[in-house]
Amino acid sequence: MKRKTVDNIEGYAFILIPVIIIAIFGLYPAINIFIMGFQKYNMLAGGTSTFVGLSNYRAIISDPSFWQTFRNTLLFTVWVVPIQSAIALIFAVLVNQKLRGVTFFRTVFFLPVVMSFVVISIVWKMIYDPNYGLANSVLTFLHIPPQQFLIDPNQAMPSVIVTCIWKSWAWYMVIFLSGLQDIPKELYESSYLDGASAFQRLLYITIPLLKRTTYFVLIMTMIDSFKIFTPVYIMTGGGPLGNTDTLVHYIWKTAFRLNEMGSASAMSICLFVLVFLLTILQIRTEKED
Amino acid sequence: MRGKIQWKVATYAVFLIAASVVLLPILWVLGNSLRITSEIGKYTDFNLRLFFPERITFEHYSVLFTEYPFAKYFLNTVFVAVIVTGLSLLLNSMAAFSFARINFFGKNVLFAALLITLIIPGEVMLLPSYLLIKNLGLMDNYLALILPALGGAFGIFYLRQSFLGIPKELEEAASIDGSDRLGIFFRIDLPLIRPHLVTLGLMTFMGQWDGFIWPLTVLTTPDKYLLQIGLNYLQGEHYSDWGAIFAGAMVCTLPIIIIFLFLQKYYIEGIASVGIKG
Repeated sequence: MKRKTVDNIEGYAFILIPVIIIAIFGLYPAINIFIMGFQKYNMLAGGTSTFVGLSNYRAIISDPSFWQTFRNTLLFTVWVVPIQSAIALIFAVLVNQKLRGVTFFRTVFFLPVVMSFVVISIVWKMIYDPNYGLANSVLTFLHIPPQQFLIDPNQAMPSVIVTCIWKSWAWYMVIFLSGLQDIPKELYESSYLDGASAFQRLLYITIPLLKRTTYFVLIMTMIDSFKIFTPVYIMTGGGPLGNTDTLVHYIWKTAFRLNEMGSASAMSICLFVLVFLLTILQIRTEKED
Repeated sequence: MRGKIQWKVATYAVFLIAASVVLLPILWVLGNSLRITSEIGKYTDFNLRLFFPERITFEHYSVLFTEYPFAKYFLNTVFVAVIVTGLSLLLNSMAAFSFARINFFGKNVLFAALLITLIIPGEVMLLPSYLLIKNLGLMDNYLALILPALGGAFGIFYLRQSFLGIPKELEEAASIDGSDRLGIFFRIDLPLIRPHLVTLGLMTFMGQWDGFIWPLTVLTTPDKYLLQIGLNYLQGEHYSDWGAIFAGAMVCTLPIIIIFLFLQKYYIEGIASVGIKG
C-alpha cells in the first residue's frame, strides 16, 4: 500500500472515536441551539417542535424577568471582576517574594479552588444562616449587628458575590503569578542598578509587562461571571424576589421548570453572543503584542 | 533597609488574615461534622468552642452511609469519573497523536472544526445536549454522562502540543527497528508525555467529581445520583440535619484535598495550560 493510503487509514483510525463523539455531542448540539431559538417546543407532548421565527426573541425582550436576570448578571460581573482581580493581583505580588512559608500559604489559599462549587455553596448557605451561621458569629464578635444575608433581598446578591470571590480568587492569583514570573529578572536588576525605586519598577516594568495577563484575567472572570449557575441554584434559587437570578439559572428554570425550551434556547443564544464577543475581545488583545 | 522588615511583617500579617478567611469556614464545617446533634447550633459566639466540639462523635458520618445512600453516591461518582478519565485519556491521546504526527486527508479542516466546539460554552450547549440525550433514549443513563465526555477538543489540543514536543528521531529509530505506528504510540510517545497525561487526567477526573449541572439535568433516579447532586439533594430534603450535611461536605471534599496536596504541581500546570489556551 502506498504511504499516503496507510497514513490516511491510520490517521482516521486514531481519531475516529473521539471525533465522532465530538461531532455527535459537540458539533451537532452547537448547531442545533441556533435552530432551537426559532422553535416552540411542546415538551409535555413528547417534544414536538414548531417553527415560530423570531417570536421567542420578541417574547424575551418584553419579559421583565429576563431583563432583571440580565441586570443581576451584569451587577454580579461588575462587582466580582474588579474586586476578585485586585485581590488576586495583590496576593500574586506578595506571594512572588522569596519568603519562608510562602508555599504553605499558597497551598492554603488554593484550597477553595479545589473544593467543588456545590460543597462551597452548601457550606456558605449554612454560614449565612441568620441564627446559627458562622457569618453572624463573626459579626457579633466584631460588635456588628447580625444580618439576614440570603433572606434579605438587598443582601442576597452581595452574599453570593462574597462566596464566589472566596472560591476563585486564588485561581487567578496563580495566573497572575505565572505572568509575574514570566517577567525577566534582569529587567528588575538593571533598573535597580539604575537607581529606580520599588514604585518606579512597579510602574514601568511590572504593570506594562503584565498587561496581557491582566486582560486575560479580566476577560476570563467576566466570562465566568456570565455563566454562573451553581451558587444561585443552591443558595437562593434565584430569590429573594428574583434578586439573585442570573442568566444561566433563569435559562435552566425556563427550560426545565417552565418547559419553555424554545424561549430558553433563545436566551442561550443571547448568552452565547455575549460570551463570544468577550472571547473575540480576548483574542484581539492577545494579538496586540 | 528598615522598610524591608516592615514590609515582611505586613506581608505575613496579610497572609495570616487571608489564611484565616480561607480556613475558618472549613474548620467550622469540620468541627460541626464531629459534634453531637444537640450541640450543633448551641454555640454561636466566636470563640474556640465554635470550632472545637465538646465531645467528638462520628455518628454523622455513619448516618451518611446507613440512613442516607451516600455510599451509593460515592461509588457512582468514582465509577463514572474513573471510566471517563481512563477512556478519554486513551482516546484523546490517540487523536492528538494523529493530529500531531500523521498527515491524513482533511486534517486541517477537521482540526478547525474541533476549534469551533471550544468557543461555545457548555452552559449554552446544555439545552440542545439535553434534547439529544432525550431523543437518543439515554435519559437517566450513565451513558449520557460518559459518552459525551469521551471526546474533548481541549484534551486533544493539549496533548497534541505535548506530542509535537517529542523529537522525531526517537520515533524514526523505532520505525527502523520495525515498530508499527501503534507500537510507536504506545511504547515511545505515550510514556514520554506522562506528566501531561497526569495533568489532563487530573483535570478530567476533577471535572467529573465536581459535575453538577449536567448530571442534574440528565439523571432522574435518586439512586443514580452522583456525589454533588446527592449532597445537594440531602441538604434540600433534610435541611435540618446539619450534622449529616456537614459530614457529607467533608466526605466530598477530603479526597479532593488529599489528591490536591499530593498532585499540586499538576494542578498548577493545569491552570497554566488553560492560560495558554486563552
